Amino acid sequence: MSPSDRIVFDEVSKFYGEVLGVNRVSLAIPPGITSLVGPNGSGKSTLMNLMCGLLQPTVGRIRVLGVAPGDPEQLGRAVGYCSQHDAFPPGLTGLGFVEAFLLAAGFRRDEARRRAWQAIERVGLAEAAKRKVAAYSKGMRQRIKLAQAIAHEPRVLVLDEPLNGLDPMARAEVIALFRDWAGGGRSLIISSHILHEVDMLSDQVVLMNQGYVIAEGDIRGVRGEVTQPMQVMLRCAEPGKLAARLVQLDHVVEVQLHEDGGGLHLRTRDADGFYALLGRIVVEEGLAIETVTPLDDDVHAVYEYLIGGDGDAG
Amino acid sequence: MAVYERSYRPFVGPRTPTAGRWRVVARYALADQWGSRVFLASLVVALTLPVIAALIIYLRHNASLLSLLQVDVSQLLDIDGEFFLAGVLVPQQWAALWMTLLVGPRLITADLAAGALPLYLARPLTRRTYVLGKAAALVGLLSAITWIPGLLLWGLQASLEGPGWAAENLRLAGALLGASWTWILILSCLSLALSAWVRWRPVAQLFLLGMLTVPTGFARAVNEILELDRDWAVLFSPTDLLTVTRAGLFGDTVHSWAYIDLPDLPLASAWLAVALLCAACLLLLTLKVKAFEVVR
Amino acid sequence: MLAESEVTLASPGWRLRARQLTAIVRIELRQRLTGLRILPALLLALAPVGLLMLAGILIRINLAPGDTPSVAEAVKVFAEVYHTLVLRFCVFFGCAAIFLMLFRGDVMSRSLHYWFMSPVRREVLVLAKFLAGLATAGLLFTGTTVLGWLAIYIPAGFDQLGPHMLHGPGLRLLATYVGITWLACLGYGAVFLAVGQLFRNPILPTAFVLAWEGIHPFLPPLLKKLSVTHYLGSLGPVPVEVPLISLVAEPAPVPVAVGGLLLFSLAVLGLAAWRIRRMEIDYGSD
Ligand SMILES: Nc1ncnc2c1ncn2[C@@H]1O[C@H](COP(=O)(O)OP(=O)(O)OP(=O)(O)O)[C@@H](O)[C@H]1O
Ligand SMILES: [Mg+2]
Repeated sequence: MSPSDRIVFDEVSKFYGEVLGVNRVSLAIPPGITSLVGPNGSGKSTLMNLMCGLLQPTVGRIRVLGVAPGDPEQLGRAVGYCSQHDAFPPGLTGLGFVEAFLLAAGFRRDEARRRAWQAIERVGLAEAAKRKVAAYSKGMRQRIKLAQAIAHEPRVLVLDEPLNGLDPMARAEVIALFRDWAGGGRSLIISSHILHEVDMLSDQVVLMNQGYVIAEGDIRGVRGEVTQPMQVMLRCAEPGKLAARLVQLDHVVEVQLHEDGGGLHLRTRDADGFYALLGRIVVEEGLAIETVTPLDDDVHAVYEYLIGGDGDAG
Repeated sequence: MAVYERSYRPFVGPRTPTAGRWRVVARYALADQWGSRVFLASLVVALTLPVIAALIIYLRHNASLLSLLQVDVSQLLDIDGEFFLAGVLVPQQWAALWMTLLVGPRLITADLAAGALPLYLARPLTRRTYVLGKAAALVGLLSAITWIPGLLLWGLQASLEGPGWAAENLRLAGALLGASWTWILILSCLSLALSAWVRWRPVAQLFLLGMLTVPTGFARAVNEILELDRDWAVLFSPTDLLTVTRAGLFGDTVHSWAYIDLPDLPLASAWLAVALLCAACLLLLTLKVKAFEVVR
Repeated sequence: MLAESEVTLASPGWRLRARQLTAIVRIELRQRLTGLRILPALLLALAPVGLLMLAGILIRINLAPGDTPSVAEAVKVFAEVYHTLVLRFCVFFGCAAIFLMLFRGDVMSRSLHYWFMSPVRREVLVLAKFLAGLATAGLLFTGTTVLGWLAIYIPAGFDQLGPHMLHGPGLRLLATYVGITWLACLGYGAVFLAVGQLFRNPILPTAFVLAWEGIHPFLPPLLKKLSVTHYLGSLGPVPVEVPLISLVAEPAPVPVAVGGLLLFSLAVLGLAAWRIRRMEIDYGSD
């Protein structure tokens, strides 16, 4: 893939005065869906605003499909952007809002109207299109922003927390729209702290913390790169007996008894094999198992591992 | 048992007494200003002027220093009503206007824009307490640059000049106090009402600047071309109301040249207009400060 | 679908930019002329008209029998109100209200990024916003000027209107005043657009400009040349004699005044256009 397909950050740093926004970011984001994941204040929005030319990097160079963010005429065609703020120019209807910025971009009147309708239908907001944006609900505002961002058919879509405030139905619809949209070799960049969405949706993830990119790539790759063997927690009546059997299995690398004597914690390199054997051991020993909890079934564990884990799991 | 009940403990420690709660609001009303360079610089300038005045008063009474500097006493300013009006009060009132312009419109606007009003009013605070706290912050600030230095200077002069001067010039102290408070009331009422009604700070500031200058221009023009028997148009101009009432308070303690260009208006009507202005502002304020508002 | 936008949106060039400019001016005009936003400026624009009308009516009522009020006298009154009130306060604050908000208003409503993300050069954006503001302010205060001018015929009667306008100096004077109004909107507009764009807290520079124009009569000649009032005052076709009012003792020649104002506005606009290229979106404070 040539650099003109990619969004390239070259040693980019952004400081807000003394405060670090992002530091020494080097990335080449290929087409497809890329998620920026990180806790609050980790620099996701900063990175997005940098690639949209809304912020100037303190040092470093950015190219979006070969276009410099300082060239609005080219960048505005190539990129559609949703900010995380729920704000709109005052006094406009949904349709008027989308249409206004198409007109400002230089589309002719009928073309602007047609595209505005098309985009609004695409986000499923046709009934509310003629109402004032100020009277929209949070989810409707998210969707009208999305419509505005996609109306001119950009090749790159940069969405800051686009799933925030959507109900499960709307979320599924929007996710379907993302998949459909990113299908044709286009780039979609979203930020989120909700990891399950990222897990299901993205081709790549970029994990951020405190202004640094700490891992990037295919989500399974990221996990393989950083995780130890898989962890399982068992709660049962006689953990000692169980532990004695488990340590004999060669894919189990570690067993820890809980201090309260009511369970154990183990790490295994072969989760499927472990589950298959567990049933047999339980029957043979006549154990009463309360719960079996896999501790890192999803990206949550990766996230926690990387970011230092004062999260809510475990 | 609900989960939260297992760990929930109501607060049982001492609470701020109801009567003193406005002080909490006041303490935080200007909290963000202390980091602002413009604010700090303005405050320093506003407090430097009285210091210079104090130096002049001191110098005036220090014969040995004067002879050392070879200055003739007669060349120095007389410390009289003139001095206190033109040299102390008027500059300090300008400073007060400037400070109000900087911080006044922010007081409630910031809370409105951030949706913080419901947060305040969800505490055991009444609307009156809230407004009182905000007003107290502004009034305190303005006091610190108007009547407090004014009275201190008066006291300095009295102590240097001897008890006779103080007795003779009691009216001067009263005038300093009264004129300062008139201006403080006008400024705080106007800026609080504005900051409650105008959501955006720069807009509120522009409004305040306009309200303090445009009516003056209008009053001049009306007086010029309508040729009324008195300058009635001045009743709508807060700055001119101050000039008129201030002149009334100082009376004959100052020479007439200080009153060139003084609008011609019955004193009582000026006081009435000041009272009405403040009342109108307070009414506007109570209409707007609410825990919730219906948009549209 | 990918290529669609390239098909319908012409490639960058002056034709496209012109279309963008007109579209943005239109959108901005609709935003600025509707709703409550225009109300303060409208009040400022109408107040002097009310005053002039009131004056006219009072003079007419108090007319002694046999008196014939002269239109020339009324023109003097108009000139006085125009310079001391309309230019000094109404146009000043009207332009401040309109132009300061062109960029600051978008920052405050957190919608400036929509403009910045449009495929429009930011210089075009500055120009478009300025033109929209200029049209708004210019129309408002042309209204003030023309309606106020009509009020001068109240004492003498409107049958004087035709002769004074067509055969007397009326039309020339009115046209001059309308011209001054537009120049004032241009000058103050450029200043306030730049202030609203460059300063986080626009009230400080605004108060400064107000004070500067206020102390203008006391300034030394060299500094006088740096104020909008100086040039506007020089252009006034009817001499005004009011003490302490900012009219120039030594007026600048008309071409210098007009050229100076145009150049000054252009320079300020140029500065704004140059600075906006590096402007960042920061909705944080305020
Ligand atoms: N305008 C600003 N001025 C000063 N510091 C800022 C500004 N904007 C962001 N920051 C700082 O930059 C860092 C990154 O902020 P950023 O908004 O990019 O985080 P984020 O990952 O988008 O967080 P969130 O998930 O809460 O949206 C934070 O420490 C933040 O405090
Ligand atoms: Mg963010």
